[in-house]
Amino acid sequence: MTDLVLDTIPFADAHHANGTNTHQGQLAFEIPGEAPAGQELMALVEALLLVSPEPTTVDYLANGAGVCPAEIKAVLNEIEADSNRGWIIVRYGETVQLSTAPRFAGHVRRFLGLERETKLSPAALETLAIIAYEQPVTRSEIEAVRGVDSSGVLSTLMTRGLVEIVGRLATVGNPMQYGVTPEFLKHFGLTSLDDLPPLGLVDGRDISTALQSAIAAAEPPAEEVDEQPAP
Amino acid sequence: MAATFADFSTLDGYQLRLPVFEGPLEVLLRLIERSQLAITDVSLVAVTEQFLTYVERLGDAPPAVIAEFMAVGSRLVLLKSRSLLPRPSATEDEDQQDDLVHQLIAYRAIKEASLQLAEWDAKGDGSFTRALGAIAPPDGPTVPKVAFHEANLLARALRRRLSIAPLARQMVASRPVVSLREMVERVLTKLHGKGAINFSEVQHGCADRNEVLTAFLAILVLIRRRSIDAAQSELFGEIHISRNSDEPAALSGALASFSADD
Repeated sequence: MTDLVLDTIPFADAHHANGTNTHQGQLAFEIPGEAPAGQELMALVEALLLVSPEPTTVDYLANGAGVCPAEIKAVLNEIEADSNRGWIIVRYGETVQLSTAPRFAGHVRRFLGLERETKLSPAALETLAIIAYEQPVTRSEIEAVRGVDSSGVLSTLMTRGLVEIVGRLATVGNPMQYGVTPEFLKHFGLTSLDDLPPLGLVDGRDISTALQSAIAAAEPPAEEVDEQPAP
Repeated sequence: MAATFADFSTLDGYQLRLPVFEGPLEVLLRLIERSQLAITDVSLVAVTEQFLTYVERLGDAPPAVIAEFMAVGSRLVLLKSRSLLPRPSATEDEDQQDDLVHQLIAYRAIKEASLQLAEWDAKGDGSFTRALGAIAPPDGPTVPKVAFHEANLLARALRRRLSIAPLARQMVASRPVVSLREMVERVLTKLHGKGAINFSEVQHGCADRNEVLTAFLAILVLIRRRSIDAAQSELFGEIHISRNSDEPAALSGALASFSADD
């Protein structure tokens, strides 16, 4: 009796696979009705982004909307291009998140009862710029470009959530590597790291090679084994 | 002037002045730009004197800051001395010279990028996302909702429910318990048919661990009554059960005497 039941299961599965239910292998649920398109899909994606409590991905959105990822990407671009909206799409790595339009920052702060954050020091901004353009970078690489000790500035930026440890460099002492966070983008009202203006030419010279050689000049000293910032 | 000062004097009447030192690259860049020079090793040599003058005036700065200036200053002096000496082979020196030039170019680019960030920072046009947990209710204990109904309405609802159908009597299914006596019976029945059995055969007919225990007890009881013989050749090995050949009557009398004893 038991054997008989076991025998029928693969058959049932095969039947299922040939049925109508598996046009999208990764779908966990039946999507009610037909997949939306055009304006309706745009509205749907906005709805999904609204209920997402944290940054989500194109794949998740595609799964939820019942369309393919390429369609989601197109719709995200559409939403992004529409400057009349009260929100922007913040992209960081593979993630996307709905965030308020920067031009309403003042109103949002008043609504949420938030104080303006204290302005960042020139040293903090320099350090942020190095990390944003060259991430992931180690502390000694940052210091090679700035020419000054940057441990204090780094810990300030970490505390404010603008910078985080993203990995370790495979070299002597495995120094920590830093990168900017999604909070960095939101702080400056950017939708992605691509919003950063390209580094200009200085005296007709290419910046990236100059940056690279300056960073390459950073040889980790022996005491860099422990990358904890000095108190 | 060794340092500029960030002024926090408006904080609750406290006078707080923190020195913010410019870095050596910052100073070097400023000197070159003031001389309206491009960033080359030649212009670095040109501003070496001014830079060293600046370092001399750093007297009261923290040692770490002075050290940073000394590091750059020594590289400038090296550059300058090289420029004054005839160079036998230029190729080897190129890299050395370009180091500081590269660093300065990179620093200036980053400085400009940081000015853009500063502009955005000052404007304060940040973007905000929903605070985490705003949608989902917190994980804490949920407060039970209190519903208010009049007592007579509730009583009427109960009467109506009772009038529709009698409440089904609750049936409790309990696992049947095999008594020792039943188990003795079961063992004797098996033994009667075959003459000799293994304990594993008895065990096989048991529904759960408790029945196995009961079965084992039954065997012990039957041995004590000399109704059966049991043999186990090795530790944890099979228990062979057979009729007690010495007392053929024992088996048939076992059941009766068992119930009498019990």
